[in-house]
Amino acid sequence: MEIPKELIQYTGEINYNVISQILVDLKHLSDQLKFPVGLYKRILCVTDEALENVSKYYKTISENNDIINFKSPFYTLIERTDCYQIQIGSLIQVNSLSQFVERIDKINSYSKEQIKNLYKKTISDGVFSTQGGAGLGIIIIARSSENKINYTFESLTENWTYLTLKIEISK
Amino acid sequence: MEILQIAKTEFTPEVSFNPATNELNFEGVSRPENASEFYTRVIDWVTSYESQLYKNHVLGGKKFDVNISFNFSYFNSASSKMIYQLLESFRRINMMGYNIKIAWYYDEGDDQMLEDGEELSEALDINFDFFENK
Repeated sequence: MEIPKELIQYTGEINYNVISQILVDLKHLSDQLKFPVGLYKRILCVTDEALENVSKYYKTISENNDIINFKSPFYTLIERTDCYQIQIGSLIQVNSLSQFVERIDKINSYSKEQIKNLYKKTISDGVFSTQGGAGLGIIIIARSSENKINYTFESLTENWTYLTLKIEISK
Repeated sequence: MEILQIAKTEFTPEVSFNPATNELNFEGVSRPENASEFYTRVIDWVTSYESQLYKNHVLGGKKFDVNISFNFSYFNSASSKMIYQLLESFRRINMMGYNIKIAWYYDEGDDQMLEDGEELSEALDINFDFFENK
């Protein structure tokens, strides 16, 4: 029976400094476990882009919403038998949900070549969000993981839900 | 024009551009807290450089090589947009008849960085030369 091993775990506010510290921890872990360069870079890309998305989203909602104290974001890197799994949880407004799910489902339906083309189109069309993310982050997550992006929701209130992304990176 | 020199930090790259030798170099990690703010200085500099080369082009001046080297160990999505914008300037300079040479370096085994370069090259329709760091 597989016993997943938790390698990095963080719960709390996610901001630039926290992400920087997680990336430093990830580098130390990679050196310690002797990750191949390619594997380390893929985990790095997924971790950074996913955490940046959470951080930027929280900036937009934190000023006016007490709900953010209700359930904190988290990041976990887990080692499994055949992969490394990144789990990232954060609050999301229910009215943003359908757009988000639609986008993930669409990217999940794409082949590697289609994701590559979407990346090129997105970067050259200049369709970027005001936070600078462009949704490019989610494309990079899909491209780097080379696996489907899994997600679950936990309903909290009428307006808020808790989203957990589970992204696997094959060994 | 003056030399552009930005020192490397843990999460921002070294940037150096010498207009006398027409060499632009990026090296290190690029995940600034505010990518737009960090790259504005570089983009402004390159825009002025492009303007100077355009003036030379219009006046029938001699064309020359411009060498750009990217040696990133990592850059995030916000940086990639800024890098794309910079490269758009160089594509225009290339179209004026200057010889733009782009060297893209990646660490041994870093397929991700190689792919990033290939995709930027394809998206911009401009040739990159790829070199593996040993």
